[in-house]
Amino acid sequence: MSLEFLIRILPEFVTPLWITLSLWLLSLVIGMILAVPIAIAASAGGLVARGLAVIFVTCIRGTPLLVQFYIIYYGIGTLLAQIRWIRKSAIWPILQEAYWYALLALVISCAAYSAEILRGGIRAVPKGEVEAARSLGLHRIHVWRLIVLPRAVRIALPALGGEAVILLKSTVLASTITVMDLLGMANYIRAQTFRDYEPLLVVTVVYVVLTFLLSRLIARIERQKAPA
Amino acid sequence: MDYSQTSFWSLVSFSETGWGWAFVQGAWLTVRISLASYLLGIILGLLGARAKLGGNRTLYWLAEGYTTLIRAIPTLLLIIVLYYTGTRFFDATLNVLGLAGAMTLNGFAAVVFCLGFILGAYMTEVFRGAIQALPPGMDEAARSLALSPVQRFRLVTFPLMMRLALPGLNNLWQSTLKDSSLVSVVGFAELLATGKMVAGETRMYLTFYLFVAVIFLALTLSSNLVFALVARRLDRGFR
Amino acid sequence: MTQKFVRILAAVAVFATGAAAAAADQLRWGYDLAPFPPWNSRSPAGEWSGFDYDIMEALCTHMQADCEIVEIAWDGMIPALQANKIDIIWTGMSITPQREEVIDFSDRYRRGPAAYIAETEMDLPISVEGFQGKSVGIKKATNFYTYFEHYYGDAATVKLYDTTDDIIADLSSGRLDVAMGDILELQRFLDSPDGDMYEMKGVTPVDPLLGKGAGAGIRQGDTALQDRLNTALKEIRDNGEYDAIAKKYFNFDPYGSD
Repeated sequence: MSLEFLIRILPEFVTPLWITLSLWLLSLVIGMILAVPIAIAASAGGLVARGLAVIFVTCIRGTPLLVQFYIIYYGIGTLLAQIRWIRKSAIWPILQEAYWYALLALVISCAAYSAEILRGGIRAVPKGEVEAARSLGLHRIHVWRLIVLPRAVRIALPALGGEAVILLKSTVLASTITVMDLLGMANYIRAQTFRDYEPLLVVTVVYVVLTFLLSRLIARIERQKAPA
Repeated sequence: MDYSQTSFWSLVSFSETGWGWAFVQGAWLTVRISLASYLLGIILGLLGARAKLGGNRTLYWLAEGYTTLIRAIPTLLLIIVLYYTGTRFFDATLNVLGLAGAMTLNGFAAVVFCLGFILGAYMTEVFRGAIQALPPGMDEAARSLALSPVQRFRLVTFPLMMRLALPGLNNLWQSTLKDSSLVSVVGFAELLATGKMVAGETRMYLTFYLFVAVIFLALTLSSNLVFALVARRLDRGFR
Repeated sequence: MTQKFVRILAAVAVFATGAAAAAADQLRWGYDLAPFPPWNSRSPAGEWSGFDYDIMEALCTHMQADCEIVEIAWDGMIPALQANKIDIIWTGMSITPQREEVIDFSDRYRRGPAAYIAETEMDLPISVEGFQGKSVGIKKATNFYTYFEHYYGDAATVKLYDTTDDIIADLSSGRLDVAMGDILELQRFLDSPDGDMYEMKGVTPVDPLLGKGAGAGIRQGDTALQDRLNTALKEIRDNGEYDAIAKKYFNFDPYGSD
């Protein structure tokens, strides 16, 4: 362990830190938004919608995230490349970047786990409240938007906060498909200098600090929004 | 080799040119790694919960540090850190004890040690929650029967706690099965590593990664069923 | 109920760990998890074969050692050696000054250049101008990277991969412009139907950064093992065993000229 080497490699981690953080924030926002319709479909959809939602959630939750990364990056990515017009189209530069595949994998994962959490929240909404809203003559959509969803989100808030932390930790998997995130950079330095301790220590400390800050933030939000 | 004319089923067959056995071996290794690390995790979790609730301040802070730190770090990163640096630490410890070279951690043991050590932190929280949720009257009743502390744990706290801990234990088993795939990154030839090797060889990436996903899904769903059966047994007399 | 539970746990422990102990004169040879014929290949049943494997067998016979193969990801080779999980790094690690700072090597047992492959229609002179703006895939922790970065690092975008398979996957999906790697490993891809649209654009010259060929990597100061390996290597070079194995796989001498 050399402090001098540690300090020398620190600047290398600035860009990777932004990559990790942007992966996390984007997948969190998009994933949670997608989770809402999936949770609604799974708890109140017709037979087909419910079936599809449940199968989606079961498959994503039942398989390792790393396998999903490989399916999306190497599986689907290679398939897309065989289609000539896609390689000539304007979106091809995006499809060449591993970052977007990592984002897609994280969005799908976040959507599935959050949908399952939300579904639990929806089930826990007191029946009386829903009936009261209906008796006021509110439209189905309004009942969902004004009563069920806000209530379900509050009930599910601690679990959703937990999911946000898990998602932050999941971003390291991006390094396995060539994304230069925090761990990607650490592995890069390890491979070139044969020094393990310093780069891994940097990444570890960054993640400990990030999860600590995030947990504090979530605790604060929970206190403010907790059901009375 | 050109695999473009070969059917998927002959590629996963058990014949000389099929990878059927490789997948069976990989899946079997995945199950073994998961079981062994789960077991180690349960032991560490019980010790951790005991340390947190036992009233000894030093032990409490040790356990608190262990669970807080481990649960703040991504599992993949921990595996890399523990696998590459942890074994050097293990060897150094043997050196200090004057037992240099007396024992070496083989790949399997090293991987199980990593996963089990990580899992223990999560287990600690599950057991702590379950023990705290037990009605205090139970323990008092056991005391009044003059049972020894060991007997109290074995006959009263443990069986009652297991029922409460079961949902958490099921969750952790599912994540152990899934997280075991992460050891493919340090080059351990479990199920995902097998799939990666075959996918690279045949260049049928989508097919074989999907195949690996299906096997994992079968493992998680079937163990879900086992946990449901156990839950039904443990719930006897409670409903 | 508790006793039963403990008994089940104990049974699971025994069955899960299995019996694992290392014998006295056993040598653990680290093989790259991702096999690459013709150097080394693995049958679906997990049996290894290939040039490296045959050389290892011959060396083991001469050293009268009990040899075991341990499969490891390439970038984990040196850590695994240092962590005493293996005794020898096999499957083609080039002897470079950078690596010699952390591990020792036997004499070399093979040497070959690296090659660049890209789409046939791409114009790719091997020069700083040629690589300008190109993305080049190279395997992690190889001397090919050190070499490439030194000469063309400013011009090209280098992406690092765990295995040559992954590089080829990204090359054939167009996420990479150029693949750089072991000439024989890449040649095998060009010979396959998927390699139709690609061709070899050039090979690397002799360069100190590319090392002195591949040797067996061993822990620093393990001179006893180093001597045994070098003696055995010299024996099979002298008695023709090496050449016989080489003839099985190649129509040239993989040992390389001096």
